[in-house]
Amino acid sequence: MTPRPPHPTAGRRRTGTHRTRTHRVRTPRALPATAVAAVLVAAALAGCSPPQRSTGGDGGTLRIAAATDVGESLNPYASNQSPTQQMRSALLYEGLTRLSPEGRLDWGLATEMTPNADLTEWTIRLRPGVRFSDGSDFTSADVVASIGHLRDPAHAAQGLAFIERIDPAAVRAVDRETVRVGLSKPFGPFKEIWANVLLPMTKAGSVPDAPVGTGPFAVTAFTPGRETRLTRNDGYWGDKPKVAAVHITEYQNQQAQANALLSDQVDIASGATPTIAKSLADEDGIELLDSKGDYTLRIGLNTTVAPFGDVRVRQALRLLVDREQVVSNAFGGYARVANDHEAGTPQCAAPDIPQRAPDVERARRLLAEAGQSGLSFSIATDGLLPGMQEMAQVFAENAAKAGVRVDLDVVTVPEFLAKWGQWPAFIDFNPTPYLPTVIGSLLPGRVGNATHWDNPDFVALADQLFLATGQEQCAITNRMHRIENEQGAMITPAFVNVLMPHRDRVRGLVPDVGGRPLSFLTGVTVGG
Amino acid sequence: MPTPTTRTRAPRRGSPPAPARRLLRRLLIGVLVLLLVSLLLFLVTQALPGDVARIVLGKDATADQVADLRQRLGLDQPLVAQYWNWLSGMLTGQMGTSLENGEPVADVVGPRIFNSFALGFGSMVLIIPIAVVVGVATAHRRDSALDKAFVAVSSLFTALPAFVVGMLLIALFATSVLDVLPGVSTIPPGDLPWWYPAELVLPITTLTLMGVMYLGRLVRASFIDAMNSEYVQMAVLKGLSGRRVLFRHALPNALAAGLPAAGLVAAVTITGVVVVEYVYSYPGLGTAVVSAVNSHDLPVMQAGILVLATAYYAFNLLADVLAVVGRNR
Repeated sequence: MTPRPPHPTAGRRRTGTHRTRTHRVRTPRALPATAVAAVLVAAALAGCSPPQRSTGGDGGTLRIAAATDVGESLNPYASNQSPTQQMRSALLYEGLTRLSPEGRLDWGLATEMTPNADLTEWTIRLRPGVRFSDGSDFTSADVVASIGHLRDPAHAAQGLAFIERIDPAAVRAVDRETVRVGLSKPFGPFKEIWANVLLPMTKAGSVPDAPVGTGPFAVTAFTPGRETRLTRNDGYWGDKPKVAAVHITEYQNQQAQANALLSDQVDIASGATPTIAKSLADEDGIELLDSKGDYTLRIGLNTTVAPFGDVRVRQALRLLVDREQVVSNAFGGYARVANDHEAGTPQCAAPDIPQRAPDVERARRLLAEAGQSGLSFSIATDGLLPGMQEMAQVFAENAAKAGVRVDLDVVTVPEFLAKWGQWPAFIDFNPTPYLPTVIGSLLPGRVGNATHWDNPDFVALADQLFLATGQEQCAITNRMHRIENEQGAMITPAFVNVLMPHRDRVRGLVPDVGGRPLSFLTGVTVGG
Repeated sequence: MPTPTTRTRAPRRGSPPAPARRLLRRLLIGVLVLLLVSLLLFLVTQALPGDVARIVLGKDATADQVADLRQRLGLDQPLVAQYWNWLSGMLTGQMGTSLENGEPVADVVGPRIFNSFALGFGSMVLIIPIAVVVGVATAHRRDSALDKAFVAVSSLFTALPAFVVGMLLIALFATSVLDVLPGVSTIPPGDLPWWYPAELVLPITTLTLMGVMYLGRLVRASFIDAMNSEYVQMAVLKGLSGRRVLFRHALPNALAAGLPAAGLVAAVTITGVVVVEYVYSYPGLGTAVVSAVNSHDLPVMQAGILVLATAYYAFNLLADVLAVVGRNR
């Protein structure tokens, strides 16, 4: 039995000296006691055994660092998707067709697509023997349900714009492996559209709460903004992944991703600025995957805001850009010069358009003709991607040579999106191939077209493109590129490489012309 | 009927003692301060640019969908009504759901509070004894090389922001010089922070260094004061041993003067935790608030900041209480 503590008033009877002494004695005793208790508690807590954490070199788990996205979900059709969500979607879900790392269009969940004579109805043959990651069969009912979900405007699916010509009432299953899709307008490049990461097939009834896909991996744990754990889908129809699991950990900045890679907490840093990538590549045990693709960072000029409605002003600003300087200073050399138009498809010959070079005198003349010699404006950017701010700064320096004053207005992502379509000048990026770019952001009235550029010749050519199949598409797209180059509303100074530092024990990564090398993980191994 | 004056002069027996009354008054003022903080917080977050509904739904949503969400979130109501709904929700534990991912705010913020607490508590457990030992040792050997070195180094640390110290430690121990500790401190969701002691070392060291450099100087100063005081001089004159003078006479009084500062250091550590969490990608309340600010997630932002403000206030109050206790002793 513990002795009773003295009554609280007991000390009051004591003299002042005694009272002081009592406290003096108690305080030093209390301190070691607290310290001992703290040490014991700490020891007890430390003794709790943590779960086994995957470490580098266990051969089975690939650990990827990605950018934080607290708003992410597993729903591949959600609006507002970040690169992190799309990277995960590419491992979990598949489309009817797909793009190879070289940009070649291959069959995915479909094996054949046949149009009727006037391109208003397409018959899709599905790949037999495909199963979802939960073991159930993939059938035509799932395709009908997936298209139905995507096509319903109430779901605000990000990929809706690409399939607007589909008549939702005319999508039906012919048999278990055949789907017939009726369109409201003729459309030729039907096959190309389905390779988009925003248009995968999911199990009927599983979206949006618990989507199930047919991809090479399946989800075992998911915490938005923190972590995703994937495991190999052993029932996958294609080449099975060599790694047993993929762990994606999200970090709030690219420096943290680099630190995690350097201290061997992850195998791959999925995002790196050129500066970080260069410094990491010099470290022992780290290599750099450099995807030289068609990814563009560009300055958009809103044609509904004066003076950007005047093509002479737009051309003058394009003539001011020193593209070599943008490549070397903004992107550390990890980019190549672009010519104010988006990239074509790798299978088409490049358009025969002379490369635009800086010409300050001509720019001055054009500005004078337009009555804009003392032009001054701000470029808005959310600085989301490496190089955005740097590109604007190089442009501001270039523009100053012709007396044009350019300021940089760095805003938060929410503010940037809230005023989307209203900014007079802004920085945008485009990771998608040409056809979805045309549909999503170069035609008038599209949400993605924040420049509000509306060129009748370009629209007419787009209509021709939508009726074309095969090689005839190349000739049309090259003519469209020429219009972009001569009259467009985007200053596109460079095609930017996607840099991915990784541990040298990671083998089998392939550079991707589409800038998404993490979509191709089936051949990847993590050595000891 | 007794006048208020008579009441205050009532006999002490039966009424709370003066320190308790003072504490009660401080608590009431504290509640008022926190109410003001909540009002300010609400107004500032409302003034952030951008339409929340548009931000949540993204570019691809139609105007009708945006209007519908605005109505569901109550954003079309007057500001006063919105504030009242929010405040009454906070007080009754109904903190709403995250705009970003639809999860209850309590589920988002709760585990984060725990993680931040682990970091703050771990640091304070180290800061207080180390600061006392360092402060007493340097004061005891005043003007020695050790003392001068400590004063110089602590001045430097006081001038350095926490994130610079954090990044220096990462470069030293995790990435550039030595490769002995993790460079980031991610704790998997659902796991407890102390399951990953290696991950805690650098964040706790950063906070501890910052705290010790500040509190150590205060302890040093109050110990020097105590050693110069008349009662210590008297003890020395009485012929008491140096050890006895140090531990029985000077130290307890120096500590009594230093304790309120420990409360303040705890309050300052809260702000340090926010910065340190960001530098180390530690999943605490600070990183949750940073994410919420970046993504305009008002419910998470408001709840997180209110928790931080309340904790800050609580530690300030503790500092005041300790000051009163110290004075009485």
